[in-house]
Amino acid sequence: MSARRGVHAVRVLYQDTDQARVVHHASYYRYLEAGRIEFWRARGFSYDAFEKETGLGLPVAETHMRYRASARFDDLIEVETWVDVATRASVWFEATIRRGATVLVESRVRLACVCFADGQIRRIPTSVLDACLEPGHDA
Amino acid sequence: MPSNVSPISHASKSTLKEELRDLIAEIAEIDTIPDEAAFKDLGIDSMMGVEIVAAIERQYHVKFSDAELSQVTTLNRSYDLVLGKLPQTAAAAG
Repeated sequence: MSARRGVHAVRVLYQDTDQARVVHHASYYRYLEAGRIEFWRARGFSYDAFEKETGLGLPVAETHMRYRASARFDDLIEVETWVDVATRASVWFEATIRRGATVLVESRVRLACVCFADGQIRRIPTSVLDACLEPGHDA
Repeated sequence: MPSNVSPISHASKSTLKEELRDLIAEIAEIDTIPDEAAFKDLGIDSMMGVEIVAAIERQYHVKFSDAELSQVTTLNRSYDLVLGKLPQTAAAAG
């Protein structure tokens, strides 16, 4: 495992599934978000504190998802998260969601930076870029 | 101001605009950037706008404020902003 990757385990809840008894495609976005938050936390960066201290947010601006296999209720899955590209304009996260050796989802998610007060775009702060490039202690 | 940035002359003003046109075209992957065309109409979104500003800051050793980020909406507006941050020569002022 690369030191620049984070792994977050998730147990699939019943509410994550749909009528077909598999995890609904939208549920994976929550897993990916959790993966990003925990990726940062393992690098000493609290997203909650960041928002409160700066008045800035890092909304999702673009996503690419490839669904390769289904997950079901009570599965234990792992979200492996890493940063592909981090610039002053945006951060591209990539993630793979697995159940054991089976790849369920491959994704790319782009985050921008906006100011809550005026809704206008801002540069990605260096604190965020540093956290994205930090090796982390979850590896 | 860094010592490697020279005052801009009248002649180099037109060069500056063409340099900016090329820089923006390269980042946006667009062949033509008309002077007054709104970036949003050219498919340049706000994140690309930040990339353009970051490239301009690196190339010309200038800094844009947060408020100025949202003013980078056309080539001419970008040019005016950059020009206003570069030192002017007497000839240029005349």
